[in-house]
Amino acid sequence: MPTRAQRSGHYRKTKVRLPGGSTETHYTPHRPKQATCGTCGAKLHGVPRALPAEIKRIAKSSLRPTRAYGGTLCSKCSREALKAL
Amino acid sequence: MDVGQVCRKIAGRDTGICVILSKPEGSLVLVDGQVRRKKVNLRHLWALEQKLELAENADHEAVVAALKGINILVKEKTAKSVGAKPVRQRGKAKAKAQAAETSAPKKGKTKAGKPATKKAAAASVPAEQKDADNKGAGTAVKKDAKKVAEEKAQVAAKQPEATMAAEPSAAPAAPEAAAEKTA
Ligand SMILES: [Zn+2]
Repeated sequence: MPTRAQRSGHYRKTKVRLPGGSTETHYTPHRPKQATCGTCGAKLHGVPRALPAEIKRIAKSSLRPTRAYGGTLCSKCSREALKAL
Repeated sequence: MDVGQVCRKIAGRDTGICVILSKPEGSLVLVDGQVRRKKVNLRHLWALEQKLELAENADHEAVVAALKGINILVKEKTAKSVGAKPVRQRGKAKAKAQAAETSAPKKGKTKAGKPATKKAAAASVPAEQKDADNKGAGTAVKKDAKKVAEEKAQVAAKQPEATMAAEPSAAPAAPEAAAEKTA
């Protein structure tokens, strides 16, 4: 029987076949969703799909593109936004 | 896209208004203005309506002056003064550093000294200037108001004591006087 915490929907469950032939369930935390563009909803490049604890360890400059609206809008939408200024 | 065309940079690290300063070499042109002076792709520029009369490869100062003519200000960046990196001390060196810190005079003296100088500075400033200053004057006036309130409170606290102290002395005196009168 897994522990009480493991029985919640908090963890992603993957079944692993062991060398002995038996199967075991591995519990890993769910990954956050890929960041998307605020205007068109496209998936953003250069924004890591990491857990909050992992994000703490990553340098701020490698968390989003160094561009106006980087990490918020996709490159197309940021160009359009800058043209409209 | 000729020399002197005013553009907005819409891609890459820099954003802002710039002027084209060279004829295109393939797809690259030299730009300067609110962005770093460098060669950029024409695709990364968005042409605006204005056009300036500038020579090819004009100086940065000339570009700034020309942009000022059409109400576009260019902020000059100042280089950061990078000091030496702090070195982490471990073991005996750390203990030595801590000992040196503890033996050094405390900051309390300096802290106590600071407000006094500030007050002195505030006092030296004439009243008219105080009114002219917006934030600093406001805080100074507030501080004065606080002081006045505290003093009033102290005086109010002292007065009842004084009256209480005076009354008992007066009360016994009154019967004596009355006794003298009767005698
Ligand atoms: Zn988009």
